[in-house]
Amino acid sequence: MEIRQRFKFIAALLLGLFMTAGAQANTNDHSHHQHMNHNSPVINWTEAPLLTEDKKRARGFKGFTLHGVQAEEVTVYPGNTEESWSVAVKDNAVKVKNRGGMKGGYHWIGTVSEQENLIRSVSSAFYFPNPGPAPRDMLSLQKSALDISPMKLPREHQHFRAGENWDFLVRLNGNPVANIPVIFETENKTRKILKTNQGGVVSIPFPYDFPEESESAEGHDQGHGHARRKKAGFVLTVEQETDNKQFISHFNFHYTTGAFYNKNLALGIGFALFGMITAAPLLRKAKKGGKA
Amino acid sequence: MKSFSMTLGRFRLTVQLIMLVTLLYGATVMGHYLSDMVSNALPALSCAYDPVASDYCVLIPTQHQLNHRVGEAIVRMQGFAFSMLLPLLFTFINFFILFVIFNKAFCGWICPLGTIQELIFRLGRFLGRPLHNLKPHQTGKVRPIKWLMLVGLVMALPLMAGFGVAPHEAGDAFCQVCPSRIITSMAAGSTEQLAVSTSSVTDTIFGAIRAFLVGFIVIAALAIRQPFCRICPMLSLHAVFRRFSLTRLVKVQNDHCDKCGICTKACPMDIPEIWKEHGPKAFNEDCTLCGKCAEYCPQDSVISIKTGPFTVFKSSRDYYKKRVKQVKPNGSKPAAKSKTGRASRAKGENT
Repeated sequence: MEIRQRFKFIAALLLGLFMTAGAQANTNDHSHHQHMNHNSPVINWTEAPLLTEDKKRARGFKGFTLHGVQAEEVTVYPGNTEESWSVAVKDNAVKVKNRGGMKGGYHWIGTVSEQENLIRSVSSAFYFPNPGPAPRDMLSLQKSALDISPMKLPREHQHFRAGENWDFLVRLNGNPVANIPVIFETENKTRKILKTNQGGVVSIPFPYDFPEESESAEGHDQGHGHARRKKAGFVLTVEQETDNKQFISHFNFHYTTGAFYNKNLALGIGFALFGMITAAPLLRKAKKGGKA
Repeated sequence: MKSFSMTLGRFRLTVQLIMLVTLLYGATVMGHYLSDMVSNALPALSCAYDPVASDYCVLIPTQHQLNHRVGEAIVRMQGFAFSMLLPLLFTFINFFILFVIFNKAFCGWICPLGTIQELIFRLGRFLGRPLHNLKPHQTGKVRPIKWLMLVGLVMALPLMAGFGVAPHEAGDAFCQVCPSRIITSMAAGSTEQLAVSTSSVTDTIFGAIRAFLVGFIVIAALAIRQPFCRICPMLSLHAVFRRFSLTRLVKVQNDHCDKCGICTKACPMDIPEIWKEHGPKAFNEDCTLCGKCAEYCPQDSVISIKTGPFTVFKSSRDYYKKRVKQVKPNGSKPAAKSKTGRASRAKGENT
């Protein structure tokens, strides 16, 4: 093999090694920013207590702020639910370390407080770039007496999005609760009260309520110069009284703008047609004795 | 009544169709989170933007890793850190296994975009459209493009976005222009990826290129075999590892080859080396291990596909005779014999 060829081969090999290392690494890692909360230290859109993920990123950690709830510790359930652990709260803030391993990407974080007859749980979910099982077991696990959990969490690259419906399950002591009101509030000031069906499931219609989105959803100007995809928080609250005890449960997470926010389908179709027209001469048959 | 025989071509088409349905719609049948499990393992253009896909193309995380992990980390830390490289190395081993065992077979047997292009080409034969083969000098001009796609769009731009010297949108530059993003998500019933983002000039340019490429490929595939595969960075990524691959194309020297060349005519990538060369050089960087050259080689045991010590398929004269009666090397149906003799008219093929 000539030196030049050998050099080419080694260069190509190194290139490939570097590429694949980068590729597989933890391939879920890129989603970390997608699952970050667009939280603000001041919560003025709901009276419900919240567990909001800090905007500032730190590799291997997730920071949370507790709003409207006093707790000494929070409990974290990983995706594989094999173990849960507690993390101490300091100055209404908590820092959760990624324990790695095959725990799955999604984790559940929550705290339960008890004052006389009032039992209140506050919970949320977050993502670490870990391999492992899907969060089915984590979601089906009873984390508090009155529990409201999403039936599914968005896959990688996906979100709860405006214009989509996502199901949430309400359970009391593990049993689905039918016809119970669920208060749905968003950071963009939407407030709705919906009811669970006979199976304890409530379907939440995420609204087009981002400031510029109501227009784009109707097909008007799509807002040049706006951010690519916006996020906002939401919280679900459910309340039930039983055995002289009052249970209140909150779940908060985030949702994003709709699928066609700042997008123009007509423009896409136009460019695709332009591509088709450009390729069309390839379809002409050859003339007799000449070229196509 | 025609008798049905299972050929390598039919077997491959069956595998392709199963994989197409599985990869494009797998999550609807096999669970919402399936793609998070299978994900990133299969080196084929199965797009994460397909809402019901069961696999994510490795090129997405590749770009994100370079952008967020490597690029941003270098900026943050002013250099590499062991803690950054260690997880990369561990997961690299997992990734490397698939590249080593099957390698280019992912292109020819698994990739949904490859299958869709082949189906469009079959439609082109059905509609009697002309076939344009690339001549060797044209093939030589096209080949560097896939390397430029790999180095430029998959590596350099995401890295530069991580450094902060390229727009944020370039963080997944290849995905921004990848036609699979539109085609596979549209196959799953979503037009979202066809829509061009107007949130920034860069986004609009990327979206326009992506939509243009889709339009061009859909029409071009009626007359050119595998038009996008020829410039696909996944092909070049596989090419890097093909010398280590357990699954490979093997050709031994044969005196009849000089006067034949049917293998190149059968090759969907118009690879002249499979005809002109033998040994390792015949297993070219453009090969997708589809096996057509082996199917249409009229000499016994000259071309074969092997996985490790096992021969998956090898050429034979008897097989060749049966195969050309079904489909011609260039993919068109053989002209039916008729009493009037009119049926043998040419199907408008040119080169």
